[in-house]
Order: sequence, then structure tokens, then C-alpha cells
Amino acid sequence: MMKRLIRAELKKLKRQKMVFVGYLSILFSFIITFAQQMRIKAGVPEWEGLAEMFFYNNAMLFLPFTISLIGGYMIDQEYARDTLKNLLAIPVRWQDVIKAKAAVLFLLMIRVALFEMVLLLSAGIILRNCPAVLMMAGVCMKALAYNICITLTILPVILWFGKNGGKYIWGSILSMLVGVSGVFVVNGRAAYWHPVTACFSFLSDIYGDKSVLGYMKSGAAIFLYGLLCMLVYWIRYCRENKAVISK
Amino acid sequence: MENFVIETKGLTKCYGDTAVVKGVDIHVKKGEIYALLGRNGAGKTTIMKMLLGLSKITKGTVHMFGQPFVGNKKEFLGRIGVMIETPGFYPNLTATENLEILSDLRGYIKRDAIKESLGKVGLPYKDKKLFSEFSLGMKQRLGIAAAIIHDPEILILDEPVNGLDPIGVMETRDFIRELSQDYGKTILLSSHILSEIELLADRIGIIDKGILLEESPYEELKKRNMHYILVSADPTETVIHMLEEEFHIKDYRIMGNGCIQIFDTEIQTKEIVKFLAERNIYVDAINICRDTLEDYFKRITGGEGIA
Repeated sequence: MMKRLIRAELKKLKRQKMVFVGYLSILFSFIITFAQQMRIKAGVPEWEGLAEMFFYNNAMLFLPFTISLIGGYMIDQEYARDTLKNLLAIPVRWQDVIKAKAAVLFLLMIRVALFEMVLLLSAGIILRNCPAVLMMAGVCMKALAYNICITLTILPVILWFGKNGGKYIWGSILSMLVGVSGVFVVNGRAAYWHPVTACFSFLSDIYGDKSVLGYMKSGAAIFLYGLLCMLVYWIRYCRENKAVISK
Repeated sequence: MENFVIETKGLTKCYGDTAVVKGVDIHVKKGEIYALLGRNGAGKTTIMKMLLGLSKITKGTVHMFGQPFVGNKKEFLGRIGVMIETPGFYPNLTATENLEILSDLRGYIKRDAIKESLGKVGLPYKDKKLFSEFSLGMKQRLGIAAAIIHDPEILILDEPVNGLDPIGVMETRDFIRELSQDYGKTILLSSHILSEIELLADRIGIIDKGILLEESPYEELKKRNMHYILVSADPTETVIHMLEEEFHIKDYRIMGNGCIQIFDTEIQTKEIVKFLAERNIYVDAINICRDTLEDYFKRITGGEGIA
């Protein structure tokens, strides 16, 4: 059943303008990063520096908002378009639909990561100063890891606000604020536990504690965010499921 | 005991202290078209939602196919086609794509089911028009197509002709009749369009303020209640008293304009005239009248018309 639900969720994204908003925000992030690098490096940006700053900008400014917007929209629209009743009358359990939506959101973020890789590789070709292929591949894989980590840590916000009829926008704004707040904690102790900087120990070249303790703390934080996802999912979609049906 | 495919006992729905459906007993026989008739907000949709498990039942029971409708919903819902309220679909997808999602989730649909169901409601297969570009009538048709895609035994249709143009109404009516007559489908529908119900329903349930006021076969209802003698004679109170004593009439109604409606149509009108004339009461007018369903609806609900 889960396979069918995921297939259905993927189909629902066809011609979905909200997905294009996601790609546009990443493109916008890339343009800003490129402009920043041009300014810092006096017109000759380095590829590694560009990639690192691109990931930083994405994590702090663009990804949390974009992921939350797309994920919240995917859940909210089942209420707004009144399609939920069609699914429940099949019958499909709403909590299973949510699981499928979360899985599709991760898949979508993988696709966005591929787009980020394409942008970085294009920049490498344009700048003509790209490093060895293996190193480039490693950096590109970081895009994938960043997107998956940030999707996981933002998921509790999506799950919480997606259900509140049209309030997913507030969830997106909250996610954006969470992302921006990362700027203030990135060099401090709270960086291990902050939703967007938790993965920096593993992924960032500049930020994050690269000691064993640092990796453990960051790993524990990501694990706790995973547990938080499950808790919010249980509260909002399993425990309150009867309340939804009784409306 | 008769076998009903849908049977409810004391079906009640409360929101806080307010009961929106009160002790409703519905009996739908196999192969018949059962119409729930009531004003907006009477509780028709709530009843349908409770039948499908989409709304929690506060009190009462539902039996489907002779078995209690609890737990294993898939066993029942797989045999039921549903269209509740305005059909909701994904606006960024075409009719075919929307149905592909539903049929894929149902999982056991025959190969040409989408093509066939779209054909039955007069919508093109693999058309590129998106749902967001559909007219209300087209949306309604797609809702019906989604309800019949898995060839269900029971169809539950909430206001199926809502928003359709006159031709669409006629086609949908014929189609619903065909499903019942040719394919033996049981259909439970709700409507506030009385003319449609008169043309379609085998059995009618009249619901008002959450209470099922009457449930009977439409033909029986016509014979029993929608046929009456209208007497205009003064003084009304005396006339009715005399008629009660002489003809033992019990089912009557005194109208505001001094007329009396007598629903016992076995009595001969000439006997009434003769009887009253012998007692020096002159009858201004006497007629055998036939109510429309709307008149009957007004009478039984004690209020305004349905629209």
C-alpha cells in the first residue's frame, strides 16, 4: 500500500507550481552566492569556496523555508481541496498518506539536491577552476546530505502546521526564522543542537566541531529530531485521527 | 424480516450538546433508489458521512450488506461508490490523471475502468484539460465517474445533479436509473431538487432538522398522502366537527383561508356536500386535489418549501 501511496503522491506533484518555487529559491540562492563570491574574491571566485557558501546560504536562508512551504502545502491541500474524503472513502488511512507525503518530500529534496549539483558543476565549468573530479563528486554529495538532514530537522514543523487548515504558511515562516537563527548560533555551543546547524559537524568544511564529541553531539541531535518527527506525527495524525473523522 | 443492504438504527450525531441527526432509522433495499429529501442543513450529508465512517457516530448502529459496519472498513468500502458534497480533485491534474490516482490506490480495478467510467458520464478519456479548468457540471460528472470506477454494489451520491445544466441533469438521471435497473446497483442519494426525486426515487426518506419524518416507497406515499379532498365551507370548526362524527375522519388539516384538507380520500365528495347541505351548511367549493412532492414536503415539515 505504501508503494501505491508514494506513487500517488508523486503523481500529485505533476505541474505543481509549488515545486517550481522550490527550484527557483535554490537558483536564487545560487545567484546570490555567486555574487557574494565575486565580491569577496575580487571577480575570481574559487569553486570550493562557492560550494561551501552555497550550502551555507541554502541551510540558513533558503532550504528551511522552501522545504516547509512545499511539505506544508502537500498536506494542507488535501484539506483545502477536499480530497481527503476521497482517500478516506477508499479507505486509505490518513496517517499512511502522511507517511507517503514525508517520503515524497525526501525524494523531492533529493531532486532539488541534484539541481544544486548541476548548478555547482555548471559553475565549475564556467569558472574553469574546478578541482579533481573525485573531490567535486564528494562536494556534490554534500548537497544531498544537507538537504536530507535539513528536511528531517524541519519535518516536525511541517507536520505540526500542515494540519491546521491554511496555517502551513506560518510553519514556513517559523522554519525560515529557525534557519536565520542558525547564523547566530553557528559558532557557539548551541550549534550542535540547532535544526539547521546540527549537521555542520559532518558536512561543513568551515563550521562545526570536528572532534569525536562534536560528531556524537551532532549525531545525537539529528537522532532526537528524528524522534521529534515521530512524536509530532503520533500526536497530530495518529492520536488526533479520531478527532479528524468526527468533524 | 426483509434484507436491507443499508440499515441504520437510532443513528445519532451530536456536536457538543447539539444533535444534528437524531435517532434516524434508514432502510435501503437491494437494487432500489433511495432518496433522502431535506433542506440544506437537515442532516443528509452527515448521515451519509456516518454511513461511510467519515464522521463518528455518536449513537446508533449501521448495518451494511447485513453485517454491522464496524472495524474492517475496507471490506465494506470497496463495495461502495461515494460522492459526498462538491467533488474534490487535484486541480493540477486532468480527469484521467485524477482517476488514475484513485484507481491505483484502490488497487483492484479492471484495465479499462477509467475509460469506461469517464465514458459513462460523458467526459473524454486522456483529455488534456485540467480539473482547475472544469465547469461545476464537469466536476460533478467526474465525481460520479470516481464513484463508479470500481464497479461498486452501492452508490452513495450526495446531491448528484447539483450544478448540472438541464441536459446534464437529464443524462445523470437516466444514468442513475440505468445503474439501478440494468446493473442492479443500490443507490442512496440525497437531493433538495424535488422534481428529480419524483422522477428517480423508488423510496423516499424525508428528513428535517436531523429527524427522519417519513420513510416509504414513493408510490405508496403518493397514494396515501399526496391525494386529498379540499373543502371550503363556513364555519370551519363546526364543519370539521360534524365530518369527524359522521365520517370518522382523523387525518385532516385546517388551512388559514378557511379551507379543510381531508386526506382520507375514500369518502365520496358528493356525500360530503349532501351531508352538509342537509345541515344547512353550504359548501363553497369541494375538489379532489393532488399535491406535488413539494406541497407534501411543506406539509410534513410544517414550514417553507425546500429551496
